[in-house]
Amino acid sequence: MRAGLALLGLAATTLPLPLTAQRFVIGVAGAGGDYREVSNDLRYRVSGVGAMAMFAAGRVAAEVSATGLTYTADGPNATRDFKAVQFDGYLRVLLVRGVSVEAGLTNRQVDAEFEYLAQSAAAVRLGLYSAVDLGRDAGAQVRVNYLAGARFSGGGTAPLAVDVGLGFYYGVANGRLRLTGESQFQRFNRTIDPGGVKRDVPIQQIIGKLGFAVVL
Amino acid sequence: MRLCLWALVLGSVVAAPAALAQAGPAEIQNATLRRAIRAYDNVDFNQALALGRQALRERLTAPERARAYELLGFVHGATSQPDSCIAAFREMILLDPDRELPRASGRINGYFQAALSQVLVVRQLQVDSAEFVAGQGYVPIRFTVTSSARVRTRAVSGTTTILIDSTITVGQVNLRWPAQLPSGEPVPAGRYAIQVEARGAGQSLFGAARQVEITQGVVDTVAHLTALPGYEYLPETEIPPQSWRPLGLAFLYTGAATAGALALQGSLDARGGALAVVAVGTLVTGFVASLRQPAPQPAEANILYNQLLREQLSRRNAEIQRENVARRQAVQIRVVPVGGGGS
Repeated sequence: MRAGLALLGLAATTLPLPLTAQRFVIGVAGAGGDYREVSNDLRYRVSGVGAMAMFAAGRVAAEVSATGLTYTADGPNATRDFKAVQFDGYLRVLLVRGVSVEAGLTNRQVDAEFEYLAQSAAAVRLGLYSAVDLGRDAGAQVRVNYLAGARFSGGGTAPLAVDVGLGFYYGVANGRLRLTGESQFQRFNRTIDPGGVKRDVPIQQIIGKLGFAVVL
Repeated sequence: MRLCLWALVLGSVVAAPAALAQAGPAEIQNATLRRAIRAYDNVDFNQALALGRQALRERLTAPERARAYELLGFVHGATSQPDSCIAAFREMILLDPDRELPRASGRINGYFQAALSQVLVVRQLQVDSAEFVAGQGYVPIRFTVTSSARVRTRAVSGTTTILIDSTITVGQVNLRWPAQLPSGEPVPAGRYAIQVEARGAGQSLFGAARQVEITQGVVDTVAHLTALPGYEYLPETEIPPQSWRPLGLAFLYTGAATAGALALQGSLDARGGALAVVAVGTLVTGFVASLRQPAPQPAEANILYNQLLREQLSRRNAEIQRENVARRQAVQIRVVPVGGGGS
């Protein structure tokens, strides 16, 4: 079984890319970053591993990623570690060369949310995505998403919530294999209203991912 | 006056031997006629006249008879007897309508022209060789009618008679025959007689004919084109010159993402380690891409040019295909004159 998978992987990375308008990419990545909530004193170091898949056909592309994250207490107010799973989904349509309109969702599910260590959060994505070829089998992309209708396990609202992303890839093995990198800056300007007093409790997470992907 | 007359006589005599030489003594079998010609050559006009008349009373072939009258015409012309000269030439023309006077004096030529105008003959009937696609060409026919007459030109083959032209005319006539039946179909292959019939006012009738062989063939088709002459396809991709554009773009994208993150961090610090790693990775990718040979890019202008070229080629081949359909239905007509005409 392992040998078969290895052979499949070898074949996938040595064959030249077909000249087709359809492309399917799958990849894995290690993640690291920083999570803060309310103030700089409640902060965590983030690490994890994730997987992604992307399918593009003509002017339309769909992308999903799931990342298992471990939050390690780092600030004075962070009392214990916890884990979370973050899921991101994107559907984009190319508007003009290099620029797409993008919609999707983000959902970060914290496993210890009832202990008030951190908030689970979910929102709908709406924004722009731009990708550019940097040369033969190399490219960069940037995205700005407004996170609309954000919901938090601890309640509250986030009238302003934004996701800013940067990414790159560098193809090797005839472009079949890609070294990938991606950063995600996610900011929820969350407010709560306990007892009629409005209070800002922002949530901010920065995650960087480095990994590789196979183009099928 | 006498001097002038002698000058005219001498002029005629000088010109005449060349004319009679064309008659070719070798072709003349009749001894009397040969002697008459020799007498004319020796400027013994009385002897030439007497021998010529004697020869006409003997058994002569048609060409010999025509030459005898020609000789008499020259003798009468040289001795200033215009009526007799014209009468002799008239007989010669009726015997051999196509006969032309060789080099002769203006006066004798004048008598000859006068003789021509007094008879009705069809002269110099010529049918030229021709090869054309039926309906797109013609067979040139030309002849001369010496007097005003109703002239009908026909093509006759067996029981088939095709009227080519009917007109009242005099002088040179040039006709163009499309070699078609009245229905528009090309004439069947075969041997045809192109007959010219001239009917004068006095119901005098004269006819001339030439034989032609008409054959039919297929029209060659045109080969389809694989390329337009003078036009070649251009490469549809081109490798742009190496530049630092990839690094510039990487800077632009990295700067945009970093500036966005910094602008949005608010009261919470952004520990930028993860962001920095990806930013540096993006910049390194841009730097390496700048050093590598750029990937071939689609050459839009060339693609458009090739597309237009392919459309043009396709259009031309469609035209050729239509043309070939017509050509396969067309008939190639070939007309060749053959010996055996007659008046």
